[in-house]
Amino acid sequence: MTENPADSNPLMTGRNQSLFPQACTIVIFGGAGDLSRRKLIPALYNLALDGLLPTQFAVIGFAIDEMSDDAFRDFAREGIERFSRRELSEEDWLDFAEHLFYQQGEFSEASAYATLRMRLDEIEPRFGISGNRLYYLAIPPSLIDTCVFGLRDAGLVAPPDQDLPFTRLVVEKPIGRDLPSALAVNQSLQSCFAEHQLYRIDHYLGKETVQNILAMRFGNSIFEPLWNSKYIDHVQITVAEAEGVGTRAGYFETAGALRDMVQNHILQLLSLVAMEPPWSMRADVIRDRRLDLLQCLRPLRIDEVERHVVRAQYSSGFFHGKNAPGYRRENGVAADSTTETFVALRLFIDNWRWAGVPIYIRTGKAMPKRVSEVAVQFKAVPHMLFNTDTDHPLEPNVLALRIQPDEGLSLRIGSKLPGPKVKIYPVKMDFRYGSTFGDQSPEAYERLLLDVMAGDATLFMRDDAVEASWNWIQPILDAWEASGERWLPEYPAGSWGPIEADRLIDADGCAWRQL
Amino acid sequence: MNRSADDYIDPVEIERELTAIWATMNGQQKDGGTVTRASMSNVMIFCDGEDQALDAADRIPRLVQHHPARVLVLALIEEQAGEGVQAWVTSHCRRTGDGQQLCAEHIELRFGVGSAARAASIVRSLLISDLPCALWWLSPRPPALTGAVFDAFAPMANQIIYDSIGWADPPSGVLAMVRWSKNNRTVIFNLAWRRLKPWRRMLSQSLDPSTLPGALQRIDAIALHHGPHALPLAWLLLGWLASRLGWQPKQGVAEAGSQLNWRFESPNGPVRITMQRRDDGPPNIDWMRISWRAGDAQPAGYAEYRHEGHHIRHIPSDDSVRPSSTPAVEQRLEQMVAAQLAHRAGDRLFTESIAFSEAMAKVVKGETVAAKKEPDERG
Repeated sequence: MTENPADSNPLMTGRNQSLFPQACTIVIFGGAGDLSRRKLIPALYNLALDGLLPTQFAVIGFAIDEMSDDAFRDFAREGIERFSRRELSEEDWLDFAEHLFYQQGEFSEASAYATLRMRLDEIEPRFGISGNRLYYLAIPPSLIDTCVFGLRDAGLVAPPDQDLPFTRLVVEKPIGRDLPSALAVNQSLQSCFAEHQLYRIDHYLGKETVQNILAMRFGNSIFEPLWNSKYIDHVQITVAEAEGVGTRAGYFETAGALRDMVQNHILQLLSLVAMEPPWSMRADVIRDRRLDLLQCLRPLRIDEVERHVVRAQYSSGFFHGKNAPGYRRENGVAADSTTETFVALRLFIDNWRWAGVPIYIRTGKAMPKRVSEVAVQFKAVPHMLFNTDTDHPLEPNVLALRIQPDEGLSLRIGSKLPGPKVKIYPVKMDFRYGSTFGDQSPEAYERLLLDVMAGDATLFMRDDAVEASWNWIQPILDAWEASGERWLPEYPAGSWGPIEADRLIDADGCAWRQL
Repeated sequence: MNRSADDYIDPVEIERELTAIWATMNGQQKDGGTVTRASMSNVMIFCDGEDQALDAADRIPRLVQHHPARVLVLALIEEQAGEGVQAWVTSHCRRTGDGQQLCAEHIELRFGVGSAARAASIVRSLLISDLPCALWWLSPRPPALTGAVFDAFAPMANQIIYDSIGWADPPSGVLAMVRWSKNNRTVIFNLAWRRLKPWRRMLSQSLDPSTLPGALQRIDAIALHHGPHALPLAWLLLGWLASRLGWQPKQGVAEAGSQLNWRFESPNGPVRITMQRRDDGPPNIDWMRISWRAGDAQPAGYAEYRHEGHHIRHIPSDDSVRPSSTPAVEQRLEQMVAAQLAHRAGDRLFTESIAFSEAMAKVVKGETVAAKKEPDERG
């Protein structure tokens, strides 16, 4: 359990500890890579501008590339200039750059960790950092074992029962590519770090609107009484990407939409939407509730997969009026690839609250637009007084939580059209973050990095949750493997998916939302 | 935003005028664009005189950009004859990325000294229901010392935001605000507290026991330099530091008009503090040095702090440790107010700090100090 800093420092009393992390060093494994340049360094820079980084901090990029400290600073500067949500200011940059360092090292060599250790011992006293360290693994999953064992063997991991100085490890998704490999990754991590030192990051959980799901559900009394099978007809979760596979073909070919989106982002999203109320906002309480939900997902038998899950691949089509290639024609994609770029599925949550409520999920690449939302569709009124014409029934109420873009929520309600007749027309009550709060929301990585520094694991995945989600996904992978399909259903790039996905939901008398 | 006498309307016309403004804007929309009235709060802005009302009008577009609100400018015009109240209405719009036009309403009421209650009755009818209401006291007079005018508007507010920078007599202002606060449940907030955020951040981190074991408990002297009008800022910082560290004010003496010498008693001995005002420059705390005596096997030392540009820099006495810094970007008043409007619950630390500032004010004014640290009963 982390000590409350106010116990030893009275000047910290009354301050939000999660916004005032202690002095620490951030070591970015793969510091010269794309994630570091596009996300991590710009996030750290923005945290520094907001005064949210500790006044004493250091960042060490650690990677195989040869690079001097100055070259790393140039690399970081370029990343900030291109990807930061705020422009680089010369005065702030000079201040920030003083904290940046680089250490070259081959992750598989013990000498690299010895050199890293020497570098840490040299840098930390200069910044008054007393040994708090955060290791960020911005590396391919195949290197996780090598790095964590390297850290442990070099004595760079604080004992698990030690409060301060702390050691924390951030691991990017994917954690494994199926259940057995996820178990193996967790085992490796836990052989070197205690679970409370581990932060498995899913950047989706750092988005303001995802966090707002909890605020909306448990900070308002009007939603929760309706949040159950008595009032909810079904739930639709859509995560659509407008782009095709682009430059990520190498990774995506081995992953596919199910692993890339459903196993992590979407199931995490679902767990927040559907979990039972936590009794406190403490990290482990929230994580317990999320785990409970994942454990309630009705398991799919292999022979049921075809009935509940649709996979597809985009074929050539049009996007914004321009030709778009099919998936198999993309660079880096095998001509006979059976990697799914689209998944639609129906699942059920077997608990008291959600019994019998179908949850429909769809995610895909090369869709008409980039949009992520959770839509809760309520049941029809018990007795129809208006719009009794069965050709034009009353539209049901829908509460849509928009994750991106135009973050916010909207509620569709029926309202009388002006005029002498009683005619009900659907109207939308809209709340948008950008319109209401004006200010630019911080990037997900800013929030999550700050949380790791402050030791708040609420928005990170615990080992059991990772395993529970893979446990539910595994039969789908097994069924697909066993099917030996050589051709998947197709949908034209720039469309909302294959006809099979429509049939999946149509069979239940529902339809995908028009987004 | 200049306006002529003809622009002012009778207050009974306000709602009609607002309706006309909305109708005009909706009529101007093309291609299915929409106009949305965005309001998170009602914000009353009290201004002393014509110039300040104009200053407020300049600030409102930025205020509502950060915190959409119905804004009611309350302009007290000393020279305004009669008991009448004049009104002026406009809106501030900005276009969002998706073509939406977001607008906030701005209503100005001008009234003379004897018409505050009359103006307050108009304000009551104009508040949007179910939204919080804040009173931003732009006037440089301490709100609680303005009598009937403050009393007319304060009861409508859930939060009163003021700025002690520039107060002519800080001890009297502090005493008045703390006393008012004790008798009212309304949240009060001094923007000076927000300005101190980087200082509080820097002091709490640079003096952290993990970096400087025992230093906080052994502080024996503080020297501080501040700009003109920044005494309330320095006062509040000292109040925070002393209340956190369990010090009691024993003596406060003004010397030569620009220096204030304090003596506090800490659990480990006396603490001497000097606050020196510069003759010119911005109203900031610009330099500070905190010294501590030697302790059990721990050496004496000091830490120096400078406000330079957009940063507060910490220069440790130990040469081997690099200086550190934290951003201290001077925000516009309206940005600070917008940020504060989102914090409606009150700040326990601020409440404790101003309660302590009251004890300090009493020492300077020679009143008996009865109060120690006062807990915030509002929680």
